[in-house]
Amino acid sequence: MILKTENVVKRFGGLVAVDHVSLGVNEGDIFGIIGPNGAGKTTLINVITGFYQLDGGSVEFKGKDITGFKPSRLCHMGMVRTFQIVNPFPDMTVLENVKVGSLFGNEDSKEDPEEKAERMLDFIGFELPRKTLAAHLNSNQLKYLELARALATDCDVLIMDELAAGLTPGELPDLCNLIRKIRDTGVTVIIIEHVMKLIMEVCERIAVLHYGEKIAEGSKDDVANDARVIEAYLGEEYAV
Amino acid sequence: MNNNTTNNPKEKRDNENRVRESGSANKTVANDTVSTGKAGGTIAGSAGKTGGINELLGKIGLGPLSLLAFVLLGLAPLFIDDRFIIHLMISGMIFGTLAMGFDFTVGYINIVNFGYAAIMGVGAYSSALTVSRLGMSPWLGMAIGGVMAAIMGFLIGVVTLRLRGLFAAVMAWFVGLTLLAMTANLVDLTRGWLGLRVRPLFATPDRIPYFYTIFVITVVSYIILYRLTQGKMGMAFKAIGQNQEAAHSVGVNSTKYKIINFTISCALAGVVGGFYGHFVGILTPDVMHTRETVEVLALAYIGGRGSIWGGLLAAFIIIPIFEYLRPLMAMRFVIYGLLLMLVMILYPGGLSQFFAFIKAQIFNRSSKVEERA
Repeated sequence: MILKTENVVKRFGGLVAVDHVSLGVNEGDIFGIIGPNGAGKTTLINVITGFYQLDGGSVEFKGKDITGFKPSRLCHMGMVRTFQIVNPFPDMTVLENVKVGSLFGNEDSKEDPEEKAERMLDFIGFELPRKTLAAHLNSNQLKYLELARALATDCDVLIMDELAAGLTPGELPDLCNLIRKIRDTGVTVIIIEHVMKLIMEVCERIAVLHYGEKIAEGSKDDVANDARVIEAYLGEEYAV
Repeated sequence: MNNNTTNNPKEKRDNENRVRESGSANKTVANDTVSTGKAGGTIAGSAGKTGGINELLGKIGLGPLSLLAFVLLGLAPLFIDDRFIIHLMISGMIFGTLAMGFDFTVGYINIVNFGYAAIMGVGAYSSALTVSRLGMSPWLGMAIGGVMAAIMGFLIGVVTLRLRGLFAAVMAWFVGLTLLAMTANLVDLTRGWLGLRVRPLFATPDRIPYFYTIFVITVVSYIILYRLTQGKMGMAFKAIGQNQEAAHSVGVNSTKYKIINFTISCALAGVVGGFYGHFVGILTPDVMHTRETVEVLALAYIGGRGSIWGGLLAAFIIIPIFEYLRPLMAMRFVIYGLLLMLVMILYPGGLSQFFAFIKAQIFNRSSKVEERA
């Protein structure tokens, strides 16, 4: 197991945003985390990637306890994430944005950072104007830009926070293919998503969060037929 | 357990190769466009020989224009016999160099160091005191001033680590105010508001040796700052300044780079401060006042944030104006305030953006002419 959380707790004042969540992600998987709005998905990711300090439990990455590690250190270890609300470097060009990832993500890399940035921009297969400032891109372009920047860090685990939000249904198949292509290069992918079509299409294993608690984890069929999941998504009266 | 934690480099290389292969088809296309772009550039730059010199200059951080400007400035005392004008140029270089150091922080990691004048004061007082108390040479004093200021910069970097933007600026301001209060109140050491006499750097009243001292400081600072901002470190600074969270997420160690940035920019202020003391001959806690920071800030902003050289140019334009129009001197900070507001509202890029605009116009015209030919 490449990534494991053990009874992770995160509180904001009186609100328990993540309540004793334990889950494990196998190496080479495409793992989905779903749940209704406010279920604590992004908070869980922020805890795992070191953006929030956790209030209980522990996180393990590549067999090492990484509780309390800083995001930059985790990135050097091979775990990188994209943001739900895009976080570009607005006054840098597309190429420079990705170059930051290749320059600092894996400082041992022998490859020229600029070449690697070009390679990643080609790899994502979404046409982005190299010399345009990130401030001038639309939100879809920024999402792909973030993805390229994250990949340029030579990650082993990529966590994507709602990448599909805002995409048109026509763009989904391309994204699904891209996610599979990323996994095929040996990267473990974790997807947080609202768009069920995407999750059901690409994920091998899924965890479901509801009010901060994990209510189900398993293959997509297990999860789709789980009474508590149906209850959480559709309301109690639909549960059989 | 340990084997699992260390990345297997070979495996990683394999991954890279796989990604490379799948992206290679598109890449040749991208390469082509890059090479044609380069070819166009050399044609525009007239001949291959100048390209070689440009490259060499680029390596030490000077463009043809900045080199020309520095050479002209360096030769100025040969043609100008007016003591007052030389004095103005020294002031311009003092404030211009401070503005460059200030821009190194605000223009890159995007934190306004409101304690900058106080840091400069630390350098000035440290230098003056080591010279008067320990009998050291003023040259060594200036170096010690730089070291003391660097230590202060390091500490400011540490206390503002977890803060961003405005909060870090306010924290730096408090540090500055504390330093000012200490300087004013440690009367036994600094003589407080009575003022501390400082031994001049040179025995002669001639201004020329001072001119060349600050000239060397200015040129060396420019080259160092410019080079640092062009490389990997500059990328880290910009990334932290533009989006700290994103920078963190892709592996930029913001702690390290913030501290490096503050230390360098403050060390520079300390050296310039040391020079200032030995040049003016008397120090009062006034030099550490926030309004001195505001003056430097105004120069840096008018010059254009993130350009380094902008502040230097702005100092050469604005400081003589004030000196020549004495009645304006009393209204100095009102004018600075108005100028700052105008620049920030109407033209946030400042002089450097204006320069880039002019350059683009000229370049466009020349390329059009080429097309016709």
